Amino acid sequence: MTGRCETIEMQLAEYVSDELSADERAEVESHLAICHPCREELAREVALHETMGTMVETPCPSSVSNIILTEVAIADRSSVNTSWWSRSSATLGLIAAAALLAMVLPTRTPTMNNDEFASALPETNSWTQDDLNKARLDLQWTLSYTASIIDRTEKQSLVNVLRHLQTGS
Amino acid sequence: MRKDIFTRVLKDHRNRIYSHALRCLRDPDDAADVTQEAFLRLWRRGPDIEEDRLAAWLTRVTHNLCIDHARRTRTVHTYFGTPDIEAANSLAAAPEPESFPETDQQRALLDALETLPPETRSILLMHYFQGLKLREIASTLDMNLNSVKVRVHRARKTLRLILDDVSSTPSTAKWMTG
Repeated sequence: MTGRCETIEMQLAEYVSDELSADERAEVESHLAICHPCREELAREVALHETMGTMVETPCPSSVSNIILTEVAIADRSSVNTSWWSRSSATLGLIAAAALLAMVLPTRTPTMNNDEFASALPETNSWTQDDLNKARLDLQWTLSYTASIIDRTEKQSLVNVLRHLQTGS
Repeated sequence: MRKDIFTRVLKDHRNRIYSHALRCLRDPDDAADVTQEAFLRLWRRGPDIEEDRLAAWLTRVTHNLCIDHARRTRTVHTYFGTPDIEAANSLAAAPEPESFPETDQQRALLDALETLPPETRSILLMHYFQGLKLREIASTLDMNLNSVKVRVHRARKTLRLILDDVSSTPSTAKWMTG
């Protein structure tokens, strides 16, 4: 291997992908005509080019696009919507989610009774719009993420996922 | 960024970004994470990016996210050991066949790519899989063209054995004589 070979080998990727000028191309070809090791290296470059170049794109799962669009919609809405209704609907959303979780996880509900649970929550009238936006983003993200876990595991519900983890069945 | 422009960019580039991350990280969940993060960053940074630079910007962000992901995974495996694949497989649904539609040769080459540093792996995917020119990669990643060439050259040397196997196939021989 000569210094000339090293220079030519460095140009082989550009040679195969047709990025060289006419002069550079002619130079590479005249060297390849007389150098067997460089022709072998060219064969490797072609193999790399053909093997990876014929791989097909994998479609992005629709669940990924849905999560992106959902997050964008939330960010978009929260940046402009500051009405009383939006604050109320966020609170209602949180309450609904808490109720949903309580229904989904009946055996996992801790020993806390309703009054204790309510007192553990922060005072809702002290929440700022920013707090509500953050809470809503967290909630949406959690629900999207939970849905994606259910999709991936094909366990149909969060209860089945948890049961599987618990029992290892 | 306007929502309709973002939706169009998402539609036009999501398969390319997801496929790049999937081939680089070899894990559909990691690829999904990288794709989500890349597009959410685009949404947040959208107004600062010129429209004709969007594709290159997304490519660079995906490249960086893949490198970070690969490094993090390697660190976790170094300190906590590799995950129990059998246990993970018992929980996860079987991957959809179209997630990994590669031939045996392509799969063997992708396996071999995992021995390369993540930066190099991602550069090879940009050039050979996405079809970007080396100078486009250099400009996208803000690198010197010569550094990109050196990485590709060294990677080819590292992959020499597997490429010798592939280069003896009839299709490559045909290219050589053509």
